[in-house]
Amino acid sequence: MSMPSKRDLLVLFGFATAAALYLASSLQPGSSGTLMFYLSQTAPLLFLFLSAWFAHRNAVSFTSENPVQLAWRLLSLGLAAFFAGDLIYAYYRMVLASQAPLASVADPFYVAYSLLLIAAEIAFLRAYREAGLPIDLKRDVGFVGLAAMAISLTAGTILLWPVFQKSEVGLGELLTISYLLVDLVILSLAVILFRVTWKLKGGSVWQVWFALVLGLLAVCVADLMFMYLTLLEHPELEASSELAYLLGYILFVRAGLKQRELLS
Amino acid sequence: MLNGGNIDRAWAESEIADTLAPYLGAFMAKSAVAAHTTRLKIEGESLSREQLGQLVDRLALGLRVFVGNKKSDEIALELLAAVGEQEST
Repeated sequence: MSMPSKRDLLVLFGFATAAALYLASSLQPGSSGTLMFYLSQTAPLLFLFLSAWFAHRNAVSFTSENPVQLAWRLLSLGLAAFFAGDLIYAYYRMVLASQAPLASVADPFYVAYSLLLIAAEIAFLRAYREAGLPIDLKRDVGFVGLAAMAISLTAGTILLWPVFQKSEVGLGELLTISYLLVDLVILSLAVILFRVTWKLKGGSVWQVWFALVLGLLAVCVADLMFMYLTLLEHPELEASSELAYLLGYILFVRAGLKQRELLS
Repeated sequence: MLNGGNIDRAWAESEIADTLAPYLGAFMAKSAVAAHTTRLKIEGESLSREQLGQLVDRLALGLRVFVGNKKSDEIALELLAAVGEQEST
């Protein structure tokens, strides 16, 4: 097993610092408005910005006829849209010292993020296939995708059953349920990507694609936790959701950096 | 491993897969070589220089998706060097 590089250690240190800041801030009552609070809110934004930036740099580094250029471009646009949405959320939290409403001006950006992420996942799968590597469409894509979709739909229905039983569902709740359905698609595609990426285990390409897939899975899980806590009012899940987002951003940063190393 | 201008196929495939393994992993390196030899309809126990060139070109073309054009050209030269062919195809 190879030793972690300086960049790996720096990324790990960044994650540990941001996670510690967030935990310290969320565990300390009345920390809102303190320097620690602002730092804990800003650090994930910084990593999200970096993940979009490195994805953009990778898109630029590949030639236009390379199918993976489109995949990196869509990912960078999706992450940039997420960054824009989160900036608006941060404005509510840091400047207005309140929670953003369930439906806000951030939502068009989150919708764009979700759709772009799905498009990016499909583009990565297409690029993998065009690389000429053996892929069993029936087993690796069809079966794995359907199984992931069926499991996540069942789990989603069980978890959200209390919401479906409510007599009145507002616009914000409807929007959150739609995000949830889109997230199930993102999750299913991420599982397919995980399946095909697993076959690259042990190579330098694996380090890029595995970090990317884990990043997709982490933000998906974070999204699902966020929606669950929003719809069913489980504030104790907020810290886990935020940490999963942070982990996702860090993994995207790592994937972007590893791809740059491979390109040089 | 040259045999009348041809190369022993099993040896060449094994050398190429070993060279690709640090990039694609051992499993995928072997699978990719096997898949491309099948697609190129390469049969028999030996590999002509032309077939070797085609095989390396196909592998390098696929690698572009993961490592870009420049690095993939470098790996193509590594693959040729691994089977004792120094010249680019």
